[in-house]
Amino acid sequence: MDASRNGHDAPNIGEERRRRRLVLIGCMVSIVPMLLVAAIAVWKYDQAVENGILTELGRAATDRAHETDAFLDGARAAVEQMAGSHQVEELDGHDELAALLAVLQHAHPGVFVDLGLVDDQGELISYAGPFAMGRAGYKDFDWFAQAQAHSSWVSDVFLGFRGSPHFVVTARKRVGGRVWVLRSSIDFARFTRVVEEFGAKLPWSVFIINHKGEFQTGAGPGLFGESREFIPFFNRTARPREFGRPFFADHGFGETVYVTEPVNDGRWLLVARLDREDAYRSLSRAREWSLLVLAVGFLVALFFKVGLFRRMLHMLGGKREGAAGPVSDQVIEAGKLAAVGELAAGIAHEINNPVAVMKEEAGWIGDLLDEPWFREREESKEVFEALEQIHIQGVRCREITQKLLSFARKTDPTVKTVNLNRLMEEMATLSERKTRFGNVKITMNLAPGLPAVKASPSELNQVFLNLINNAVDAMEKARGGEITLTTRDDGEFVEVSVADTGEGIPESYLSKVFDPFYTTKPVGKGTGLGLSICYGIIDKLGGAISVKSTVGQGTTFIIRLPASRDGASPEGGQAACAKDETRVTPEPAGETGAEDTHHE
Amino acid sequence: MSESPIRLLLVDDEEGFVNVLKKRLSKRGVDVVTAQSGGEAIQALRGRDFDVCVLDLKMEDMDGIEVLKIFKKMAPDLPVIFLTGHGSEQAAIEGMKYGAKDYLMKPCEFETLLERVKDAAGQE
Repeated sequence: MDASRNGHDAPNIGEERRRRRLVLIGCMVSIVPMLLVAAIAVWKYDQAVENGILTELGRAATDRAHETDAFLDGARAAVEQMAGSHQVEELDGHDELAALLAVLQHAHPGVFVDLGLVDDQGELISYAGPFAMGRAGYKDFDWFAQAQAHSSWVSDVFLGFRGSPHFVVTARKRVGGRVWVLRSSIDFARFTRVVEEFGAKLPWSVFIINHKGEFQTGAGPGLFGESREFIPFFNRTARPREFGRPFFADHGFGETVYVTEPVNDGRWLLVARLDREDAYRSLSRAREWSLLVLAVGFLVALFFKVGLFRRMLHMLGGKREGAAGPVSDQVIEAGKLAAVGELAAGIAHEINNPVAVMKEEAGWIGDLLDEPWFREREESKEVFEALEQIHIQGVRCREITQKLLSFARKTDPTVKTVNLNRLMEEMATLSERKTRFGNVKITMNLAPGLPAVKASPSELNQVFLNLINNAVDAMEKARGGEITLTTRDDGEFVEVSVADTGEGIPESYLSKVFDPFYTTKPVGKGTGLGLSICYGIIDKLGGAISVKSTVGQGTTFIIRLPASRDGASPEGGQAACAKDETRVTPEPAGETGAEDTHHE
Repeated sequence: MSESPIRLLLVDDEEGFVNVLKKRLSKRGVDVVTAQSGGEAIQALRGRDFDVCVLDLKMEDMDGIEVLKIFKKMAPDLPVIFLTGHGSEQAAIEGMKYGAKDYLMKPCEFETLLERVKDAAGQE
């Protein structure tokens, strides 16, 4: 049965958690969009880099294919020209061929290994070069038939008599009915170099296969002996529309990027391949950097944001937030009160003037009718009663608007040293008329030597008059009762209680009594603002107000204010009230001294 | 009320309010001149003497305190009672420093107003 709006009693364990959650939400709200943007940026960047890599790979493969064809064409042309410009006799003989080979090697350094003349029986009739060939017979070799059928020819790679892979370039020489073939072996290592010379930017490998899937170059590491894997690959990829266009495939070496280009009149296929992992190594390095930058930025932003939100919460919660209940509650309370206050002040100001005019006009009617000719009439009594009602209701409007304005008012009254015992005595005196009218007896129970408090006396007047008025109202049904004003020295605090013997407040209502606009009084009797105002004032002073009530026995409001033990004997209570007392003037019914004291 | 009637200058920009107050006060023997702005009030004071002035603190053309300052030059002995809205007591108290005799919260009881007017005019 104890509802407490107390800033100092219960430490709020959940507050830190709630506060952390607020900070977290705040940070999320600002950081999540940042992360989204970053993710999209990284994704887009990946795409751009991937496209860049693939484009570069395609272009490089095309370049290589051109280089390769240029190399082969050059070699063919040179051999063809050599065959065309010499008689068979000039080609037949070791010394003659050695001289011609020297010419070829001079014109194309490092390309031609040897030179040989083959007759129409496939027999090597003369030879110049590093190998001891003897009269080798090429009759059964594939390339020999092709060489006889074409004016010039580039053979596929074969092992030949020397037992190592190489290929030959041939030129046909027709004299009379006979056909001779001039052939030259190509430096296989040199050719491979030409093909593989791919630039060092990316770790790709380039090789050439024929339609049987046989390697026509020294292929990349680990690729020898697996050429059969490439037969279907050749068939599938040797389609014009796919040339020069990178694609992904997995041929047992992990996911790989491939680009193909036809070379050697389409008999061969140049293949550039790049492990996906390798291709993206540079990409992932760039991404690691951007992620690092992002992470650092994220942490810095987080750091500042947490700080910022904490500061904001601190500002919102006020200086006493640490002890004054859940932050969110306080923020809501403050916002609610401010909004209510603004609204109330606006309405009150607007309503005041018309109400005043209405009240005075009713008074004027009364003035006009206050003549013997009317007073003699039968209905005069009722008319005067009606006018009196207009007056009373006008006064009620006025009270409401003024209470609203009190509620909304931003006061910063001077804080003085106040003796609460003295203040209680003054309150009792000020309320005398109202209490006498309500048949209420006020009992004082004041602690001697009570410490003073620091407060605005007029605000305290307002608080205690409100409580006393409420107490009197609570005893209206019982047609009287007793109010006990008690002061107590409680060490750090001074406690004042206002107890009545009224009807009491049901437990379910107790927690709401300090809420703005909450009232248990009949419609039109209360604004529901009095206790809110009291709460606001006491809270501002660093004190606490609480209520205890037992239905049928009475209600006690307890106010605790921090004691002030410094300085001289407190006379502030009287001094401050003195000004107000001059404003207390006897007024007609409906007005009380108490009302005047805090409204004027 | 055997004395000569109190001459009152009533200044407020709420027309309905000054009109009805004038009628009610007149019926009680007060000689009322009304003005609905600071300018009108100064004009009125130029034309004749008054025993007391009831002055609204907040008017559209002029601040009541400005009007008071001018009044104090024109008629230093004229007692001025401020009418003030709730929440602007500070302004009214400020007004007292500039020589206002009294102040009343608006809206006020007619009887209170009459009393204060009589009091200020020295007839009670």
